Amino acid sequence: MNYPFYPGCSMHSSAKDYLESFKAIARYSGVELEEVKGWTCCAPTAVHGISPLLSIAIPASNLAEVEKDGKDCVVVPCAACFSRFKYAIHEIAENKETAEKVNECISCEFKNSVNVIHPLEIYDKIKPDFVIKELSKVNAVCYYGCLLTRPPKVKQFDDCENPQSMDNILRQLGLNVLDWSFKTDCCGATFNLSNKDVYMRLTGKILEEAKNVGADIIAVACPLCQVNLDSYQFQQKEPNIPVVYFSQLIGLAYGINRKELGLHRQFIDVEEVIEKCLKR
Amino acid sequence: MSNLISQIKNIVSEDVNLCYQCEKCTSGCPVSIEMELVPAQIMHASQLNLKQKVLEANTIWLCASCETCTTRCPQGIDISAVMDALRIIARREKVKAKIPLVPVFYNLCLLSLKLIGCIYEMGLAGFMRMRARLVFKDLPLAKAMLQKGKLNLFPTFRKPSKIRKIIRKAKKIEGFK
Repeated sequence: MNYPFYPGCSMHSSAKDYLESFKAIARYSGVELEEVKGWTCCAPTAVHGISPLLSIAIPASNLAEVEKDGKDCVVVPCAACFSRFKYAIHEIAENKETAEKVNECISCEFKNSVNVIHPLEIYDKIKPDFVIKELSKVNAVCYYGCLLTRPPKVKQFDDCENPQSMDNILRQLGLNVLDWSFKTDCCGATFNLSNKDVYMRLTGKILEEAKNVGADIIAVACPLCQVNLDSYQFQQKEPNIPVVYFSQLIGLAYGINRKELGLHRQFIDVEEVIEKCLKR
Repeated sequence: MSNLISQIKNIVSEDVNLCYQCEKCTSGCPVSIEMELVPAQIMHASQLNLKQKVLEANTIWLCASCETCTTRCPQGIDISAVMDALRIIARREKVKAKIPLVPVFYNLCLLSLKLIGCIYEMGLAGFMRMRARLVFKDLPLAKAMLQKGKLNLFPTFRKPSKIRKIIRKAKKIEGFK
């Protein structure tokens, strides 16, 4: 399978591990990724608080690049980019006036014919058929964050209150996936930079709950969630639960080495924790 | 145009009059306990055109745009978009932000888009920490992230001229500042 691929800003900096692991598992599972030519930023959080039109036009200009290439879909792993793209598609389809304004902004006729896919949707279908390590002793919780599923009429991705796609993938890998009630709670997002007390409280609550339900690892699918949850623990020195991308867990099951999966980039070592679990 | 209800409608096409105060937005909001006016009160005060009260509350700058309220509103109001509209009105009318760092962050993001064409995380984080006077406290974290290759010292340029062109045109159509 060949997919056009939009990495976004964070996958080349704070989420290099996500990019590395996603590319690595793609190679193993026969998924070919081709980076969209001439991509720019998706205009995240801050921009819709400044100009609603701009927050639609910039992602639309990226989708137009995919369209120009004659492709009908694009894989977007970053939850924030995924959200902006889905918003652009939704707004342009719903509102003719917006569509015209967007075309004027991006100086081309955008047909809105591109489907935006998250890697979770791909790997929910491709079931890895072999599991290298005995992982059933490892308790995992899946943390989806805000932007993947909400609001459902825009994202049309999984269940908005109790999503299951990542849970299903991890269960396939042999992990013991736990149920918990913080799957889609907010981690504070960019408040990490602009309102640190609020970020510390929100992220702290998520980690505390993960600890309470007995999670050994937290699986995520959003670069900002990963950085927020991981760096909180670097600063607070607790509760010491590794925060890994679902793609890294798939990679471990495939038997890919830690460097290729970017595991060395995270503050809490997931392999050490897995080893500890196996001795239980 | 001075009516807050029509101003919001003009910016994000949402009708705050549909709100009947069930408070589902407020009970799901992760930051409502820190808000001077909770989301349901913002909706009510907007209906009553209490503009100053709404724009001067810390609420609009505390909203993290997590969209829980939008998802759960039984009247289908995109409350998160209403918050966006209120931020835009506050900006336009130069109302002093209760949490000044948030609009500073917005401006920096826009600047990063214009100059580089993407979000320059290292620059953004460094400047924001300086403004928050947390530079020294967070130095170990920055150092660790750089060592792990989780931050890039220098940005990669991604067609800023293309973004600037879009911003120019959007400004002409929408007239934002």
